[in-house]
Amino acid sequence: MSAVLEAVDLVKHFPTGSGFFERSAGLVKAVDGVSFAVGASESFAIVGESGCGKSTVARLVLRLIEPTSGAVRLEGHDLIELAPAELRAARRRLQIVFQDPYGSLNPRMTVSQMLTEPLALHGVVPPAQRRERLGELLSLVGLRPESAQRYPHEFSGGQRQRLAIARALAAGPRVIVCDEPVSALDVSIQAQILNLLADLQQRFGLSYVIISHDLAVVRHIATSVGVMYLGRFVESGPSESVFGRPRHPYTQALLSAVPVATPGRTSSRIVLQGDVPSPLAPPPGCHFHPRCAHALARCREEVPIAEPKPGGGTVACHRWRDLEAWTTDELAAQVSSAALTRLQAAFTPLDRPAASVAS
Amino acid sequence: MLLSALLSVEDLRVSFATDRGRALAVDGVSFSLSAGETLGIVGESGCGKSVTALSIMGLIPRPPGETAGRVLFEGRDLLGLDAGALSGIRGDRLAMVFQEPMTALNPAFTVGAQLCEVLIRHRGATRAEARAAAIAMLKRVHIPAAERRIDDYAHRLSGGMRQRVMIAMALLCAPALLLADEPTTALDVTIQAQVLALMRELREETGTAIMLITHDLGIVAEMADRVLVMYAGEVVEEASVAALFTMPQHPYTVGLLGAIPALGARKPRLTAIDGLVPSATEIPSGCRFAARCPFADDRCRSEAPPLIIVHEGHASRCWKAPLEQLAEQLAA
Repeated sequence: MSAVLEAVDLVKHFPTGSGFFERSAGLVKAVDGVSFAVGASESFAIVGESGCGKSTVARLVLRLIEPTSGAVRLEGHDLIELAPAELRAARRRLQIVFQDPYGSLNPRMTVSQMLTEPLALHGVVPPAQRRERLGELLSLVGLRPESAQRYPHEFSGGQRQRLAIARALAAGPRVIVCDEPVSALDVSIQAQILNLLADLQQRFGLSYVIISHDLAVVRHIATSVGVMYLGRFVESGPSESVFGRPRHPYTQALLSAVPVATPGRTSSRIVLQGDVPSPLAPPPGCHFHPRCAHALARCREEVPIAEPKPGGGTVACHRWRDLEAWTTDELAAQVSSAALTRLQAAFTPLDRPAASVAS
Repeated sequence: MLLSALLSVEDLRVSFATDRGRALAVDGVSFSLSAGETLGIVGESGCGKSVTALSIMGLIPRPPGETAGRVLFEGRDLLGLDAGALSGIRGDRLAMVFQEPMTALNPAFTVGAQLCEVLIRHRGATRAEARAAAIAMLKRVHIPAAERRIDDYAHRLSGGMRQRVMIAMALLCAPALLLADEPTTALDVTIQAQVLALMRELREETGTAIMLITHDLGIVAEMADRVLVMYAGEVVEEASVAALFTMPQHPYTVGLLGAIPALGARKPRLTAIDGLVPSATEIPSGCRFAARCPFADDRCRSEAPPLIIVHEGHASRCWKAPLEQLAEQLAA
């Protein structure tokens, strides 16, 4: 696979307690050596709980904040090395969609202004053709051309997220970083946006970097996954492997914790004790050891390194070879009668693009 | 109506005065809940599920709100009670857990002061008795070092701990009914698993009935005995959990079930319900779901369907129900 986007050993330390006299009381290792790669038409998802550092990775990839060390290569060029003007040009190929469609759109700009600005900025479309391109962008994300003269507040949450996607698409990117793209949306609207992202990926060969706390969403959309805990990947690899045969105790606990829409599910749930420790003072050794049922003395002292695991990908656990591979096959056995499947198919006829939306 | 019903809501209507006219947030909702039962209420934002809970608690501000119908709880109509009588029941026989523990807990008082107040108010406990009982309850909801934590302010606690404190406060007087409005939505998934396990454990110990409001069908499948599906202020479907997930009888539920991504097998495509929920000020005359329903015909668009019993214990507000027949027609 030739990677379109590659993150190599990204590290971001934030100094804390910068009082008047104390320069820096400590360091929060928000991201502590994260690497991944995404190819064309692929999606890499970073999943984890609040405070694990996943959104910091998104910002590092775009160089919205400067990494302490590491590299981000977009089509072979290291973004970290680029001068500001070159970086701006490179951002045409690398865009972001944020979680909150209420906060990420300028309330004083019409749709037309916000979608033509990137066209003008990057000089990708000559002025004469911008109107045409605007209509094309709106129809791509399933909005009507009449929407162009409206302001963000006139749209619902789902429609705003469509606008944010249209804006990201405007300059013709290769990679879109999506930071919790559907977390603020209701289930039925979430499904519309996930289908739209899948359609656009297929059509333009886009690569996605998806940041999400929702494991089912990640399972649906990602080709590969990194499971993050306190700044590090504890497990990563192809989606099938991480979700189907999770090897790290944290991944197993995370997957088992998700409520599944199958009544009477009998599977054993791994309920973790306690909260995620503060990133200000992460536990020594394996960060997960205080909550891990399998921790030994070694886990408290020695940081586990990522080792390749069967089925592809890596796992960072001293004990993964001793532990039984956990399977999620039973999760796959969801009740779905033929009648129900047939009714559901009627909602999205195949001859109609799923992006179409009323009003 | 069941004789043993602990709570029985009859034709509840809640509307609010807005700039664009009266918004009908809850429109003729009826259901009942027996002792020890867990009823799930699902639906998307704005369908009226939280307003239903708030009106049971008597927490709808009037004006701009207006409430009609009956809410019979242990034989008394809560809607007819004055503020004094109502606050005698709230926190004692009837308690509520909110989505955002940070806004529901008072930041100016310690956790202990807020817990003790409940017992002093409802049980006439002394300060020392109340404190001992509060510590015991914090231990029951698995707060580590409860003796120290009781003197903390809410901002010192993590999200999961705050939600445990909320649950502890709600359960102090062993209520007959607990209303839980999205109790785990603000929490991480491993913490959510802890809180759900705690709710199950306490339900078994105390026999408290739970009305669980959530948008997460997974939580409903796990926790509830029966489910109400709400859409645009109405109950559109009511069924046992098993029946709802195997063969839903309302197209909205069919769509919702298809819209959730599955953790197990990867669905090739999610069911997207096109369009939006109608605004509460512009409710359509026919079926409220018709504009988004792939099965809607002229009758659906002009005539509002009643909630009819499709199978025993399974009701749906759809002209096309039972949907098994519709599925057969689609196959043909």
